[in-house]
Amino acid sequence: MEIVVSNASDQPIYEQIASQIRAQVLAGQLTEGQQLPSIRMLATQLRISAITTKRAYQELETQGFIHTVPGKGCFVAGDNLELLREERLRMVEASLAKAVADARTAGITADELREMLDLQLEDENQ
Amino acid sequence: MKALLYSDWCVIKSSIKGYVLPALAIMAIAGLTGLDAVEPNALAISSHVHSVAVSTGIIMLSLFGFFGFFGNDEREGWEGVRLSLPVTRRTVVRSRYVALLAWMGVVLIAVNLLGAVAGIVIALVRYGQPAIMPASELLMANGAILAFALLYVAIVTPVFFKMGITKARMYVSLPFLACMLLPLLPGKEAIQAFAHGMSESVGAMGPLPLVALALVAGLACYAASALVSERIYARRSF
Amino acid sequence: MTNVTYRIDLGAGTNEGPSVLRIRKLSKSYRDFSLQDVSMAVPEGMVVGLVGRNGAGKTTLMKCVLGATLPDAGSIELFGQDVATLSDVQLARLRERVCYVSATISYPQAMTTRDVAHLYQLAYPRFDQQEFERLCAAMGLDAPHRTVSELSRGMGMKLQLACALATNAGLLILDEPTAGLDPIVRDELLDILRAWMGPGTHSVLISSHITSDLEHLADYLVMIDDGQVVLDCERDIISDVMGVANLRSEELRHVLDTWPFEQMRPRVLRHDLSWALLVPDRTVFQQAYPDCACDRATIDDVMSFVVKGELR
Repeated sequence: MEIVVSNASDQPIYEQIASQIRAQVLAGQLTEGQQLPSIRMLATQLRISAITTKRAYQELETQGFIHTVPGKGCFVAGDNLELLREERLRMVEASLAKAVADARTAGITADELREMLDLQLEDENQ
Repeated sequence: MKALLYSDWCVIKSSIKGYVLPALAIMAIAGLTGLDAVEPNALAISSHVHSVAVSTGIIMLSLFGFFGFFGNDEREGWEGVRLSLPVTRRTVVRSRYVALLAWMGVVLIAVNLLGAVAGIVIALVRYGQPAIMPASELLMANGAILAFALLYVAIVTPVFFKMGITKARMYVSLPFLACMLLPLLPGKEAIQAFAHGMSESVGAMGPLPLVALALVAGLACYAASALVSERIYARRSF
Repeated sequence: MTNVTYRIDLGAGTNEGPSVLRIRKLSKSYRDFSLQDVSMAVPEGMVVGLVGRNGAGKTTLMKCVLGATLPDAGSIELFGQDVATLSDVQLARLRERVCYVSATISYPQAMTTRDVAHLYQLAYPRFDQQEFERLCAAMGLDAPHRTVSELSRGMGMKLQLACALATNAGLLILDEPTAGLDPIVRDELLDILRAWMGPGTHSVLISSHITSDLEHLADYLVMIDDGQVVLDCERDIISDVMGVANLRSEELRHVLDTWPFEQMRPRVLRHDLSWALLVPDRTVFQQAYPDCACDRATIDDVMSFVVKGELR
C-alpha cells in the first residue's frame, strides 16, 4: 500500500488517506482480508498525527471498506460491489458540485445550467 | 539510593587525582612547621608524621570531597534532573550523608596507611630505626579528628541543602567564627561555668573513653543533621 | 503582568478521555512570572506538543509535574492517581513509569556513556539493557567510554533518549529535545520517538520551539503564553480547520463588524500592505466572506497571532 498526503491540498489529510485507501480497495490493489497498518503505525509512516489516521480508519469503517478486529488490527472488508457504486455516486456528486460552483462564478443561471445538463444527457443517449 | 550513590561515586572518582597533590603539599607543610617541638627520636618523629597525616589529611580531603559532591550538584542543572529520577527527596539527602561518611572512611584508611608508611620511612632515614605510632595514641588521634570532622559536616551540610553551594560557600567558616565569638557572648559566666563543669567530669575520664564519647557524639550529631537536612530539602523548589 | 491572553476554544482538546497525566488549575508564582490555573492533560497513547515562547512557563510546568518544583495550588494526577494523596515512597514508585529528558545534558561531566546507562539501570527497575543497546546501535551511539563532557550535543541527546526509552516508561517528558541539533540528527531522534509510540501504551509530553517537528509528531497541541493555556486542541485542527485570512482594511472592518465565531476573539497582525486575521474555521469564513483570501494555518502562524497579535 502506498499513500501520499499533501499539505497543499484543500482536502483534510484524513480524507486524502481515506479516499486513497478506498481507491486502492476498489482497484483491487488492496485485497479482502489484507491487514492494514495500525493507527499509530500509519501515523508514524506518514509522519502525521494518530488522530488523523484514526479518523481516516473510522470513516473507512463506517463506509464498510475496512473492519477492525479488537486486539488484532484493521483489515480490508469484502463485498466491494456496493461500495463501488457508492464511490461512483460520490464522484458524480462531486463533479456536479464543481459544475454548479463554476456556473455561479461564470454567472450562469440555474435554468441555463439545467439546459446544459439536458443537452449533455441527450448527447449521451444518442 | 544505589543510583544516587553511584552518581556521587562517579563524581568523586574523577576528582581524586586533583585532590592528592594539594593534600600532600599541605601535609608536608604542616609536618615541617611543627618539627621543632618534636623530640629527637624515632618514635616521636614517626608519631609526629603520622598524626600530621591523619589530622590534616582527614580535614583537607573530607572538605575536598564535600565540595566535590555539592559542587557538582549545581553544574548543568544536575540537581533538578536528579529529582526527576524515581527517588524521594529523603533518599537524595540520605545518600549524600552516606556518601560523605563512606568518603571519610576511605580517607581515614588512606591517610593512616600513608602516615604509617611515611612515619616508618622517615624514622628509618633520620634515626636509623623504624618506628610506628602506638595504637592508643593512634586511636585517639583518629577518633578526635573524626569526631571534629563529623561535627563540622553535621553543622554545615544542612546549610548546603538549604541553599546550594554557590550561596552556602560563604557560611563554611561559620562554625569557626562561632567558636571564636563565644567568649564575647553575654551571659558568658553561665557558659563558662557549664564548660568548667563539663571539663571536670570529662577530665575524670581517661583519654580513650573521652575520645570514644566524642566520636559517638559526633555520629549522633551527624544523624541529627541528616534529619534536619531532610526537612529542609523537602521544601525546596528548583 | 502584561497583557491578559484570551483562550482560543476549539473543543475539549487534551482534557478529554483517559489520561496518563492530568493537571488541574496548576499555579506557581515567582517574583516576575507566574503560572496561573493551568489545566491540561496527556491522553493515553498520545503525543502532546507544548509550545510557547521562552519564559512562557513550559519548563516550570514540567518541573511541577516531575516534583522538582512545588506548586502553590492545583493538582497533578499521574496514571489516574492524585500525587498529593501519595506518600513519598508511593510517588517515587509511580514515577518509575515517568522519564524526563532535559534540554541540556545534565549528568556529572565525568560519567561515561556506559556510566549513565548504569545510572538509569539502578534508578529504574524496568530498565531494559538489551533495548538500550539496540537503540544505541540504531542511533549510531557507540562510544561507551566517552565522558559526558566529550559528547557532542547530538550524541548527548541520543544517549538521553536511549536511556529514557529503555526504562519502559509509560510517560516520557521531553524538554526541547531537538534544539540545537542539525536536521539529520533531529530526524533520527524523531523517528526513534515515533517508533517508540508504536504499542499505544506509551505517551509523550514534548515541548519544542521547532514547530515543524511537532507538525509531524504531535497529536495534540497546547500553547502556553504568559503562564496561561491559550490553546489546547487536536493538532490537525490547526491545519485542517483554522486559517489565516489576508485582508485590506475595509475588508477587515467588515469582518470584525460581523464576526461570526464564538470560539475566539479576533486576533490580527498588521503587515506592511495588509492585515492578517486568524480564523478558527476557514470553511465557515469562506462561506461568509467569499471574496476574502484565506490560507491554511500553521502552528507557527497561531503562535505569532497569540504572541504578537492584537486582540480585537
